[in-house]
Amino acid sequence: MPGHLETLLAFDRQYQRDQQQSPAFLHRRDRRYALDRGSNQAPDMGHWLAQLQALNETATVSYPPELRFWQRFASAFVSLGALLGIVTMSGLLFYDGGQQINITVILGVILLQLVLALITAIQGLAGWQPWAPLVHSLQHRLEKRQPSPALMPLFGPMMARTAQAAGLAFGLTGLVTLLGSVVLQDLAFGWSTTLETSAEAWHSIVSWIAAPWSGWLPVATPSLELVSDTRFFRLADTTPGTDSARWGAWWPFVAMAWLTWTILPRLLLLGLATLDLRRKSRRALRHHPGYPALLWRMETPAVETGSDTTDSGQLPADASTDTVPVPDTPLIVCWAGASPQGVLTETSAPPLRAGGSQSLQADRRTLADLASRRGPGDRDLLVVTRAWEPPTAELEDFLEEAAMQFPDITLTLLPLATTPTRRPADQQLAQWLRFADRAGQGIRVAATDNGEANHVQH
Amino acid sequence: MSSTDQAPVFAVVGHPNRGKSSVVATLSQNDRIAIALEPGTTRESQTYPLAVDGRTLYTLVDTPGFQRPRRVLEWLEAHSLSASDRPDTVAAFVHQHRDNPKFRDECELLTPIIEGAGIIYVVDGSVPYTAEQEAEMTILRWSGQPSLALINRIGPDDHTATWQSALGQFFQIVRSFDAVNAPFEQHLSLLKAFGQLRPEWERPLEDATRFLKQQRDDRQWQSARLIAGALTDMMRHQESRTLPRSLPVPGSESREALEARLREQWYQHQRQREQRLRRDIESLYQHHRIARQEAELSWHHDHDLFSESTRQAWAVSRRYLATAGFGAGAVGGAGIDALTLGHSLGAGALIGGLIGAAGSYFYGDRLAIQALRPGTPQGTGELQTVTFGPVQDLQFGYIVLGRAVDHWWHISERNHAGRDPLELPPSDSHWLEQLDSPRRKAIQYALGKLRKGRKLGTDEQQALESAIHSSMDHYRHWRVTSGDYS
Repeated sequence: MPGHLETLLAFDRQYQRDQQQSPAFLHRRDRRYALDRGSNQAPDMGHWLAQLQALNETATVSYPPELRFWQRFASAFVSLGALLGIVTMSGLLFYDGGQQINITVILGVILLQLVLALITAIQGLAGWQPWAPLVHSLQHRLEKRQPSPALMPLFGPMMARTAQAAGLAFGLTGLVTLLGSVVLQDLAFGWSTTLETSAEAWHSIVSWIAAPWSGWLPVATPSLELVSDTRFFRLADTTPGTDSARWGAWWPFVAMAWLTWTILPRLLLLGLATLDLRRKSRRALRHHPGYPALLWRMETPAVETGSDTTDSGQLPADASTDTVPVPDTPLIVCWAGASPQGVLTETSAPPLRAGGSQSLQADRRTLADLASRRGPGDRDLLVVTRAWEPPTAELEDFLEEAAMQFPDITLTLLPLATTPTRRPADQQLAQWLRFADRAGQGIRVAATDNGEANHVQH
Repeated sequence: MSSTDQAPVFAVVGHPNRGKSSVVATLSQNDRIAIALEPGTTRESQTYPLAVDGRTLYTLVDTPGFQRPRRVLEWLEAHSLSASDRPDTVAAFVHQHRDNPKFRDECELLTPIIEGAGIIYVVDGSVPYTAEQEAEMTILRWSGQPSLALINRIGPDDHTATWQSALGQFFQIVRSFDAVNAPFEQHLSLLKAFGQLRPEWERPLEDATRFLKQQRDDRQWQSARLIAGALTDMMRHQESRTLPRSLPVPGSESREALEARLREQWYQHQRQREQRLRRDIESLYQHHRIARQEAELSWHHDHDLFSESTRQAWAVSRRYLATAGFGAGAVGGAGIDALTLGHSLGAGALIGGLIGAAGSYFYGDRLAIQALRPGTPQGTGELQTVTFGPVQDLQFGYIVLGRAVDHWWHISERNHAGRDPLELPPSDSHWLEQLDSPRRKAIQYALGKLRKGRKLGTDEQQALESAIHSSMDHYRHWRVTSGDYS
């Protein structure tokens, strides 16, 4: 199961990919996830990411690429710590058979280690990154890329964890070196200081250092006699009255001091740094710009209004034919309440009517009346319509019946604008031209000229 | 299991070209519906379900118009004995003529009705009432289904009153609805009226209106986030170019040419970012076919982001800048008080406020952009990155904000039946003056920080979004009270 840091980085990668997706799709996807998971369960980022990866059939990244540099950097840093541990302890235990190994120096190194561990911990907790430019430039040199922005707030705790791990490696290899030296060499420990101090005072210091284990490991707790017996002075040639084996009796104390005051603090602080990194990773995830948007998508119902449906129709192409002049004919039918008043004047008989609220029987009577009105030279039937009304199939039926009844007559439609003497708008005329095309029968469309009445003479 | 079977269905029917599709387009928030198609080209019904989390609450069916109503009525009258058999007779007509191409449109529009759909009969209230549509209304009445008549004014004339009295004889409910201009509240009111057609339809329609209202509120928040994001990008943007170190020598011709080129790129980027914001907002509100009048941006265009008329229209007053600058400066100065644990007795906030106010008053009114700045040499020292920007002018932020909120308002109030190009003329007074003090400070503080090229923290970003959201409310209120609501 991925940790919080891996989850954060996987989330950031998904967030970057989602930038290319439409908000509507993201809302549907994440709302669906939330509904499948159940309303009473809080969203789990790890589970959400795992589901997305499963659905997208993308392999789970075992180790985030953004962390590869840190993995290498941490390995190198820990190895360096381990090496330094060996070198440092070897240096401390260097014994050429001349002068004793000074316990005071070893205690000084332990104290330094403790202080360094605490400074690292404070720096990590506070988020100070004085070394950040160095690490970033190293990453830039090695990987030719900038660190992931999602990792920026975590560099402090990440570096602290790495440093504590390196310190732990330092302590462990130091301890191993000490134990190895004890086995392989005859080490002579003693204590020495320039300060005016008594064996009692020194004994009280080492007793305080040995306090954590003195109760259950007395062999590692130096006695006052051992302290008194093992003081040495640099300029003294020998130390009379001291048994040679006494010089080696210090090693359990040194090993326990190293273990207790160098290794254990590093171990504890490494655990603390790991916890701090987890806490800050969780916080970074919550503060990620994509996080509130994701929660919103999960919590908000997806409302689809049918806006994705496209209807079947596209605006038809413009008609290929054009309008013709109004024919001079006495055969005039007004369709669905259209009135030719002001356009067609001086007619001998009122125009006939069809369509609209009239019954179909009345339409048939109109056709019969047309037959009776038709003179021998009449070759045109003019059907007056309202230009703004759409042509319907009922008109088509009427024209079809007229064409059947008068096969030698030309049918002409005259769509009139709301002001009949004005030419209708091109958009309105276009639907009549297309209708005439569609209906066939040789139907033509006429149009009035602007402001001019068409005088039909008889 | 899907609840589509139980969800009410409404068949939107009527005479051809009476605005059926425009009603459906507005209610389904779909601007892809071809409006004003002539009869005979749309031959099939289209369904537009409203679904919440996959659960359909209602479905609108856009149908072809009546083509041969008198023939249908003639057939129905010839096959009916009494009023009680009329619904069955209508169903029988559909079954009889399902394969008859002559009555294909009628069968298409009557099929959802005989299957139980409510009838939404649409007429055009801008043309006078005539009895010629009575055949259609009679057929619909014969179907026995609950029905509502909708008077949709397409043209400028108003014959609503005569239509209302005529339609009242045929339909349970008669409502007026301007599909192109009706405000959102009327959409919801109309949907609630649909729910009144049958008691069992009331609940799903109530739910639907609630979700639509919530969706609208959410969209305003999302718009505020989009605007805040664009504002952040545009205020912080800088152009950079890596060059041989000898090129950008101060005072040289090449340096001036470089500066001019980067300046033009900077302008271009800002225009493109603004256009992206426009598209994002339109997409959020499901508008995909808007032709914007400000689409063709050019340097000399009156509505261009950087034109003088735009600046005069959308910039805030110096007094506004000074007062908001005082607040934003005080926020920064309060940090000093915090560091001294209050021992500075608030002097930090006062001094910060005064500095902020003075800075905003004197320097907030210039279109100043951080000039060409050479960076540190790279590699062997032969190359150098020069940068241009970010903008130092606070007014630039207010102009971007003003234009963005104005565009948002037009989009949020625009119905999907609208086909007119979207015009965004500058306004003549500034609505931000009505914003409360904390919101002004939040905006000013954010702009002040962004122009230094710094990022906003999460809390600061949220405060900016919240302030923009609030300013959108104020803008709407300002539009309504100034009578520009249309």
